[in-house]
Amino acid sequence: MKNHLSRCVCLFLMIWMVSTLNAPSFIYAADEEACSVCHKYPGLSRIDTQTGKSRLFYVSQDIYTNSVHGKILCRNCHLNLDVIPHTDAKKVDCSTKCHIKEPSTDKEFSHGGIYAEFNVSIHGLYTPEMTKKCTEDLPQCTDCHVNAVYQPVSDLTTMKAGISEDALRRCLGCHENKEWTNRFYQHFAHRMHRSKTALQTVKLCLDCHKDDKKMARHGLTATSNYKDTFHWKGVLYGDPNMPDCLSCHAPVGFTVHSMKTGSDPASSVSKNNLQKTCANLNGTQVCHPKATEKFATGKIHPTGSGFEKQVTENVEGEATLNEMESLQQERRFRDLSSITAEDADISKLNAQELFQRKVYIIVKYVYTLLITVVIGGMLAHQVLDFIRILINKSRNNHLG
Amino acid sequence: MDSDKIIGKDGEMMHNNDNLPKEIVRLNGSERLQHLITFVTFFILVITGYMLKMPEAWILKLGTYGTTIFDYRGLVHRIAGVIMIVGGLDHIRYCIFTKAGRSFMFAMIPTLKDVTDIIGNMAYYFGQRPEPPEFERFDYREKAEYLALVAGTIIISVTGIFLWSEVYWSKFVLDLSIMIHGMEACLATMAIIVWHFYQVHFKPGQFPMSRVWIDGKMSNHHLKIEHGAMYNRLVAEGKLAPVDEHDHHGHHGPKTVKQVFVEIMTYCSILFFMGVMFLLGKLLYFPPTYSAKAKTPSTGFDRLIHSGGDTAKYTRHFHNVDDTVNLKLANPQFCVTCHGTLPHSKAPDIRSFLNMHSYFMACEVCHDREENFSGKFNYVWFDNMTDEKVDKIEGSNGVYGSRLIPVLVSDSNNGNEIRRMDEAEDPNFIKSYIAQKDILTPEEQGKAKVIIHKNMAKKPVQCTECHSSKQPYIDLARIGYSQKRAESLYRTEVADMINRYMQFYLPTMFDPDLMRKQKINELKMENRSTQ
Repeated sequence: MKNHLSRCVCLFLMIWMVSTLNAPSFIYAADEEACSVCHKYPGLSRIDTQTGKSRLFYVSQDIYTNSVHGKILCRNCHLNLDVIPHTDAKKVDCSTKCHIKEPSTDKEFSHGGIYAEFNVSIHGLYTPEMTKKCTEDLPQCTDCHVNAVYQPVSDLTTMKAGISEDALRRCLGCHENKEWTNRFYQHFAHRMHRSKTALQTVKLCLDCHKDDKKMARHGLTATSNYKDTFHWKGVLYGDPNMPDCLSCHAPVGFTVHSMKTGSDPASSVSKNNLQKTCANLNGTQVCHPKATEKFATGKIHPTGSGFEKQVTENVEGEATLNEMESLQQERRFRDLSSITAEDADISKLNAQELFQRKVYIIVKYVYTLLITVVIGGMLAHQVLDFIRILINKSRNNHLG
Repeated sequence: MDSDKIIGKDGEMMHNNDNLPKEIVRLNGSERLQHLITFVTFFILVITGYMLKMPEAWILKLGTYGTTIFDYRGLVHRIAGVIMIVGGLDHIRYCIFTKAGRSFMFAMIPTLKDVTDIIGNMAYYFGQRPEPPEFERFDYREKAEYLALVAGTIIISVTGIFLWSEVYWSKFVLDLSIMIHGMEACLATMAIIVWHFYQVHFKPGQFPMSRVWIDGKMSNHHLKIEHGAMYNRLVAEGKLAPVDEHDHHGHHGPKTVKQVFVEIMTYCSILFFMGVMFLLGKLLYFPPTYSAKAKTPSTGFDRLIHSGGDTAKYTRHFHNVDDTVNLKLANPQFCVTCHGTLPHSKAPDIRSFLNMHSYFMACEVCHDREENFSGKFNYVWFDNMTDEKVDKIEGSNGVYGSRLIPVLVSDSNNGNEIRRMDEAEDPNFIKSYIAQKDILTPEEQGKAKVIIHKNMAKKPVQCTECHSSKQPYIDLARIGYSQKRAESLYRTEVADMINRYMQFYLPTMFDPDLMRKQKINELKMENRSTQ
């Protein structure tokens, strides 16, 4: 017993030691511009009278100094902060050149290159082949990116944000400036893993792509059935190797910022690239290495064909969003009856795909019916049996 | 070994009933083993399979264990599947190559008698005949279940193998397979609960379970009731002792504790499986749609900054706003109910600053003045969650977990507390106003508002009244701030900023060093001593 107890104490001590080793070590950079005099208060916020949204002006200095932008002064991004309140402050433009040097070229650093790349992608404002109708729907930098906070290299759940003192001590042997070394270490360690978990990525993409109305404005259908896939289940369980949206739509060799539409041959999910994408041989996680050509066919996100027709009509201004909504509600029931050869053209399904879809739906309905009839019949049978037993019992009691 | 073989003597015809066995072997060892394997693998498969269909919220609760569970789930499901398939193949071997197996198989073949039995049994249920039909070794229920099991095993094995070897099949085959696999699982699970469990567990007299699957034996009494035709045959052949009517006596006495317990357990387990049936039915007829509500902080840092609370609203904030921005009040007063936690919007220059104060002060600190009340104000910190007095505030930047609230005390020396100022004098009036607000005319609303706000100071306490070293409105050191902090609040941080508002230039303002330099410069300009 005593031995056991002391072992417990030992274990506890070990855990405590490990946890203190990895405790967050925030670096308190001097608040050069004194912004935090006001902006350190969490209550510093207001309701925007026009939009009704709350505007938060609180910036936690602990978090900021440990973020990827931690070394950048507030005024480098937030221009025109000369008076209080900052009435003439400009909206932050991520594509401007910062006053820090990019070490590999010694030129001024800028996100401008990526921004330009992004702008000609399907999500950008200036895609030549697509007329962008509702530009307010299109994502901005900050819709996906926040000022990421440096994370330790390990994905250990017990580890808090910050740096591993144990690893850092090897750097500090030569590099004496501790603050600089911390930052350098974090700069790399942070990029050793993905900044968003798969679950967060899925949520982020679906924030827009599950919105039927928003998608219909751009002639698209909402991604309705990713949640039915095995991929999603793995993501939900937190398996880091399970594919989220970007694993297929921006695998190795493609970038998130230059996403293309599926029919574009430059897209990772276009027909000619799909087999390679499923296999993902160059990725950290090799997915379906033996993927055959056959395997890489078919639609991963199929939707009801009738619905796609409605979307087309909506884009052409013939159907209203309300009609679409009601249709979406009864989509499950309309699938079977409404598929015609005519729909095939509109829903971009070929004859074979249409046939397969029909077979699938018929099998599904037959099976549902089968279950209903069989289980219903069984239930009725057992209820009758039970009632008969009760009747007999009461009759026997009565007699006896 | 023949499963119908009689325990005890065999061979010679025994006419002395005492020497005849009173029970038969209904399931032999091999069959019991087959049943055991089937039922263990079945449950493993059901559990590991439905783990993919669990509601999102349940899965997210697994947290960091999720990924491990997910890995083993797949592995265990496959192992159990393989065992089940091997067991199925072994059953085919058993049915063809052993005598007992062949007898089993032939007894399972549906016959015309089964059809008449179904009709007869239905007639019995509906009271059209006094006794149920006499069944042979396997009645129609058992035959139906067995055949469904065979068909189901084939379907689910084939689709399972398709899914396992996914890369060789087209999306269409896989889509169909996964759908059929799930549908068949649903059918099988429901059938097991409704059909099999009722028969061997829940049926009156059976609970907790029929013991046939354990020892394989069935008494002649039981056999006579459930398989009358077989019983008659065996008795006529002299292989089984006829039931001694005197042996059997029903329990007509009062219920024993054990019986009551068994009954309660029966109801509990029936309720449990009804719940399972409900969930399965929901899954079948009303499959969940993706809600995008799945949100869980998954990285260490997320947990660090979003420690609980409804932070989803703010997670998109570029500067990673932490949870403190959500002011949490256990019992918000009426001011907050109507005006919210960010009430100030009129003065564009200072509204955010004013809201910042609302974070750690009740409205009444500035909007009620002592002179309008008969008594004195004591400024006291009250905990946001427990509403208890806090003697010493902890924390910084307004995040004290408590708010400053004036308390009205009587003027006399004993200083009795009259009331907390943030508590309304006439709460019922405000309550009824809030309830009826929508049906009142604008004029009536206005009048009501005047009554509600009647004690409010005409001119609220101004910034400089507190943030001033000359007779501050509130003695900041007395209410709990350190002397140093109080000094800073009186002077540098706020008052100067306000005074120099228009010429304000950020970098020099709050930097003590720059301030000092500036001051020195000013003094030098005026040719005064810089010491």
